[in-house]
Amino acid sequence: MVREEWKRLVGQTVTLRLTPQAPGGPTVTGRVLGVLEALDGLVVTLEPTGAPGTRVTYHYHYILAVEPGATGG
Amino acid sequence: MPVGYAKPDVLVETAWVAERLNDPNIRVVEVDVDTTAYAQGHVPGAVGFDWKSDIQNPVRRDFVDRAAFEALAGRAGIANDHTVVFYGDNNNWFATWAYWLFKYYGHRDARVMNGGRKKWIDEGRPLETAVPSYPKTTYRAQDPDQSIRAFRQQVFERVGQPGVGLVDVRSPKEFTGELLAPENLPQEGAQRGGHIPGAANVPWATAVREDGTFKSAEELRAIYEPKGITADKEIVAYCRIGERSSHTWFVLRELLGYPKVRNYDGSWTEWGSLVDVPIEK
Repeated sequence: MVREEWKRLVGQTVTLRLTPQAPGGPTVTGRVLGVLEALDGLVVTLEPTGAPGTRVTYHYHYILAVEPGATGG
Repeated sequence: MPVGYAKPDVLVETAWVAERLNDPNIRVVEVDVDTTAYAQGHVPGAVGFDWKSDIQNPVRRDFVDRAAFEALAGRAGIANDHTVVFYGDNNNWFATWAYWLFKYYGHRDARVMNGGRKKWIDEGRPLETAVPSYPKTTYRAQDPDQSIRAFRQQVFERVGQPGVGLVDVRSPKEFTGELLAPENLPQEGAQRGGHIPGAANVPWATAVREDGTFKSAEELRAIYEPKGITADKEIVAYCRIGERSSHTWFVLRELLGYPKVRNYDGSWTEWGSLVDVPIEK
């Protein structure tokens, strides 16, 4: 996914399928709070479903796939 | 600002800076990855440091020595009793590096503007292109605080030792050796890819919210402690050239109050080119 595709996900609930090295995997579902850009890549922040007010952050290298809606847990 | 930081005064908000632009006791300093950014517009009254030409030793690989640091601060009109506020692009990569450098040389009151250059701009705050001129000062640096810097031999001696936590703050593909440098930069600077054995990979950006401001102390502890990066250990942070790891050094030492945190500024460009040191992929 390119930057603009990630940014269009802000505010949506998605399920991220994560690499084995990612903390909290293999999937995490939540609302996309924002996408940060840096020279070393995009970083996605989610508010996990079931844990309002908290946030988890993943460098996009950790993300294998993005699926819309709350399809995983 | 989230509460619970060990040293809450070291972090200031954009509004705090905006309210103090004309305060003669404060110097605001911009340090960017993109060395052209400052000239395109900066916080009114801010001085610009070029991380390459101002802060690096012009010959050998090191940052400025004590005399050059004193001269740099003096040219910028920074006095020993000034409050110096750092900010920059890329979520303050080089702002925290400059902060670390100022602490290394013993500056008493240094701070970082939360969210950096991007947040200032996103909030529609004023920018100017005029370069300010302040009366030169005679700055006197303190003896270097070697407790916050790690050299390669110190890192080598700590690999695999109990009570030591190595934290590699690069992106996951740099950690695994698939990349030698951030993906948007030339893939150069080290002969080998991978990481220092035993290091935990906690990318620097894990510590910030979606707007680039730092997470709360509670959130930060929940990130680092499960990775074994805990306050009871001697922590060494590294990245590729030491600026991203200064961001994590700032988090661990200043925001969480870990007592023993070093920034290994030689970082992967050094370790990944050394002969006869261990590497994991």
